[in-house]
Amino acid sequence: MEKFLSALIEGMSFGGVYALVAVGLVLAYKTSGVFNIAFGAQAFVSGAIYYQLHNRSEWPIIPAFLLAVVVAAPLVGAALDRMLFRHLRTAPPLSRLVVALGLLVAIPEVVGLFFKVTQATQYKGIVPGGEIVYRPLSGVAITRDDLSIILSAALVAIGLTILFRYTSLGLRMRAVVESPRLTELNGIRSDIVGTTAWMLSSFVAGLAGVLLPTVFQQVSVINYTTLLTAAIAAAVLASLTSIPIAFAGGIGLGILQQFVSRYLPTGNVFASNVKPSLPFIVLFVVLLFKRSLSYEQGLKDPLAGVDPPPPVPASAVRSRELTIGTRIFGFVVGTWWFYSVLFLWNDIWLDRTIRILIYAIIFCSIVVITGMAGQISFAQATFAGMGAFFSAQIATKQGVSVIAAIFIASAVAAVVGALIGLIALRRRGIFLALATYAFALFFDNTMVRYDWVGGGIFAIESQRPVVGPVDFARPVPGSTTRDTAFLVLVLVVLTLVGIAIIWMRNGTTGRFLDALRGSETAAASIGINATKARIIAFAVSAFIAGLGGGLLASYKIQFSSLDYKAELGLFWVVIVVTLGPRTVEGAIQAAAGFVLFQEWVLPTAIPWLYNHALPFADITAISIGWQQIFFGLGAVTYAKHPEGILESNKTASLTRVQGLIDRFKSRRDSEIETASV
Amino acid sequence: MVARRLAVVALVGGLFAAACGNSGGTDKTTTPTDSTVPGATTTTADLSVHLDVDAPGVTDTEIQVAVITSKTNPIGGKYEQFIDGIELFFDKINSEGGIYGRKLVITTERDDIIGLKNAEEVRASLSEDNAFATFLATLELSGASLLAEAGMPTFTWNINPQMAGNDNIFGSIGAICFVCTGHFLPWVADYEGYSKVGILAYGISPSSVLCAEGTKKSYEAHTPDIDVVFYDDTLEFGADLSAQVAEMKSAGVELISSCMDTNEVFKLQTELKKQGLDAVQYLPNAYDHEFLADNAELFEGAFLVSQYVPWEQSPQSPATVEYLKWVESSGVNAVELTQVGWIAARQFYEGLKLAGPQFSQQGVIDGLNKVTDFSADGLIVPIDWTKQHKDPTNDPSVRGEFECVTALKITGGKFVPAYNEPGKPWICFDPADEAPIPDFPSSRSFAPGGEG
Repeated sequence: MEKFLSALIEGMSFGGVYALVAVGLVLAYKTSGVFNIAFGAQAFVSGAIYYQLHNRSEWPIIPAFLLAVVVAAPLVGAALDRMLFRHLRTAPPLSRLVVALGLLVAIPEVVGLFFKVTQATQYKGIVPGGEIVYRPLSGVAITRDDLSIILSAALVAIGLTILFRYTSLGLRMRAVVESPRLTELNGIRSDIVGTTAWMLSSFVAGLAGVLLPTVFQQVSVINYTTLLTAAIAAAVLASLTSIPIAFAGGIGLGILQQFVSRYLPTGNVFASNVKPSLPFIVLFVVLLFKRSLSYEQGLKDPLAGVDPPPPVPASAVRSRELTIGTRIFGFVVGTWWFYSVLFLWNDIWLDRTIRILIYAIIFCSIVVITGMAGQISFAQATFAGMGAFFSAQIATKQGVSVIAAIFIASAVAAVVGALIGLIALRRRGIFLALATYAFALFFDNTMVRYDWVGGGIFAIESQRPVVGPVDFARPVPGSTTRDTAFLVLVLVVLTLVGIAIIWMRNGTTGRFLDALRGSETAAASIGINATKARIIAFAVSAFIAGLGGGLLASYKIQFSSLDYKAELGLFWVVIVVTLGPRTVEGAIQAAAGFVLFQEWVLPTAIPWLYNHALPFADITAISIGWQQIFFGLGAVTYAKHPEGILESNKTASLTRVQGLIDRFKSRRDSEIETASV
Repeated sequence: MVARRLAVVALVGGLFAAACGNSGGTDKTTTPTDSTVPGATTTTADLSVHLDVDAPGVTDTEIQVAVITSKTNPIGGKYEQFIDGIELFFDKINSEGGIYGRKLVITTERDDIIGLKNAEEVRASLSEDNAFATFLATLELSGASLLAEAGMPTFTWNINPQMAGNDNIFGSIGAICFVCTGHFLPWVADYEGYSKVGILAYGISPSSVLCAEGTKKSYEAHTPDIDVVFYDDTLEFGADLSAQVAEMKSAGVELISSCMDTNEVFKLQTELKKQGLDAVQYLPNAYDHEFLADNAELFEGAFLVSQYVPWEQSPQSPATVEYLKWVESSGVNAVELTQVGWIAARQFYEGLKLAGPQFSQQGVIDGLNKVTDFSADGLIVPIDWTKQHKDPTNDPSVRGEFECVTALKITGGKFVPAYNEPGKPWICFDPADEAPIPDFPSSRSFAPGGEG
């Protein structure tokens, strides 16, 4: 009984935080239509401010709380609404998800520029003497901090339920989400109501932000994002609409985790994997079987289910002459780059080029699933990981040739991808994205820890391929031999993948996916099999990711599961959608950004430029957090430029150049005509 | 956010060795006064000789080195401060005129991001930095083989298994035996009268898992009357520890040996307090004055070991006094890694001395590999580089004659040296002692002059 009660009380404490965040997610969705996965990042802002003021600068609790939660958090909410989400009210849900994802990546890094606490300390929460323990029954302990969490979550849930059920403000908030123009016709300032809603949800995030560290004993953004995943499960359980169910779901999940933890044996790998995976398992199951979660939910605008046609690609705005010109330009730049890598630059640029090409292959998988199928998958790093883990295992343990092993492993990833596509068939948009993320986290937390998948706790050894007489072995540093054979190998693979994608895009599957992107119903009415097209897209995308993952493992020789973490997959999506999710060229640019920004642009190029521009300046490196800030904020442009910023700018530039050419031609023609007259 | 767990913490790795007591050790029972190199002829007078040297990173006026640290990490590791220690030692040498007419200079600082990009950064450094030597304080050492293949003199904070087998890599301790049995923890448990022990480790860190295994073996080998009543080496990083503490409480655990970093032992201690389990923790990685200042009350009574002679030893050795003097004059915020950096730089300097005025990278490596008792003037347990590059896991002959630790207790909000005799900071066990209960260890000093 003691064990039971202890688990119950402890579970309520954890569950209280889940519940608070779940309620906040539901609140944000109900009042803005945004599934705000940046909620954890917003909470982190308040947590960091409160820690700095109360724990470090020793401000009293009340002013620190007021500034962090009552002032700063709502201001963040208001800023997000004014600058971003207000302009996205009619955007497709997927665009809003991508924007929130960008914020999730960027906000913690922005905070990190001013705030850095990674070491655990005695965190002082929002009640004095938070560490004081009460023992209501023998063996059952609860601290004041635990009580503050449970009570805060309950009060917030009750308050918001009353707000939505019994007040005109709650009604207005919901009305603004459904039809801002209609509410304005009734004399309601939809912008003010919308901003109020964002401030309110941000306040809840701020409250969660200052309460959370009492559970984790550390103000770290990782804890906020980990917590978010569990809270998402509770929010989805509530169909993103019911605050009481979200609250109960959060509490229930916390209690369930504690019971699993207390009643399964400790020191057992399976048991230790189950507990952290529980929220992901629950989320995945709920997403699959909860019938009320449909794509159209929250979209009352009859046109909202129909995505606008994608912008015209850059290649479509140019004439034949310009096409030839740009191709020659591309060829010259490419030739210069490879010539320099092979004959002028040192080995590190060869290494970077190889990795750019490998990541470009992986990112091509995002081109297929996002650029072509119009879906967001957060499991691409997992599929790449499958390619890596399985190819290394097959090659080293079964003695299969490396190239064959990579293909087999990619095929396994493709089958898993197809299965994900199949079982998540009824889900689209946000819910499909969440299902893929739940799967990725489950794989990370459970499967990779087994020796036969992710090698267990040790780094995995992989091998370089040998194809006929060509040995792709890594050269000895300092020797005259270089890794050019591997460069050629990945270049060939990328070329084949690129051709396959272009072929697929121009073929039947690509056309079907385009049609499905616009309107699934309309596509079905003309006989397009949505199921088949989506499964193909998932399978092809997972295969390509697996291929890239296998090549990366082979190139690195020694790798670990950390190279393919689910969180990394989030950033990959952000960087690709920012730069160009619809083309192979966009994938290559994203890969170059991914590799070079961190290794060359921030530590070398920008400081060099800065120091040369300002003679008195002397900076040695820029924080690598700027990569996340740069691309995270870049992703918020997704709604405006679903084709990617680079593709958008390229289109604009080509349009201008084409205009000049056309004017020149027209002037020349008129001159010839005049002369002939 | 790429994975905090990824780092998981090799941090503890370096001290597992101390806990298990088998990484370092020394052949010498005497007090050395300097590195012992049979046949070495370098004298202080030679250090001012300036000859033309054709080696990477060497100019007429400078000897340039590169440093790679896991500066970006989410686990509270203060690895960047390793660089401060190197700079302090370089400043000291440069203020004395440098060596061979050249100043010692750090020209490149790289960040391998939780060790994730270690191989990439090593490769980049080898290609771009034109460094004479490389210093590393990183959570991973996947670039070890690249450094070895390039013949790069490398000086590390050794917490990584990859250091073993590479005779160009000189750690702050010799190659670590993670799973060997040691005497210190069983002895302390017996000495303090504990009979029930709990062991916790991360399940996602090889060094942590191996540490737990070695710790368990140590208790089983040396203290049959002490039971390991709780053992969990499957923890997630940042895991909720309430179930573990509840189980330890019902099992009556009195001493907890964890193989986890400071963040996790902090969480564990908080949970112990909450559930009312009055057990003492052994902290593998807590000789951190900032950590103590923040959490002294919570950890009252816990004990720990330090990688080098702690500042609290009285009398302080001349080496400690000199280090602290430079710390004070520079104003740097010195942490554990700062002193490890100082020791690494000291070892590099020793290598240059041994290589002579016509030094080369291979000369530094060869010189140090003849040293049988490098102790950084007594700050660390002497290392015998003629054999301590080898992995001692399966070769007891490279484990050294004695295993020594410097122990401290947290008492009254301070680190207080424990178990040793005044002036002799190290307590040393005989690794060959297979008695059920280890003999009371002998206190030793490795400082020139024999004290501090």
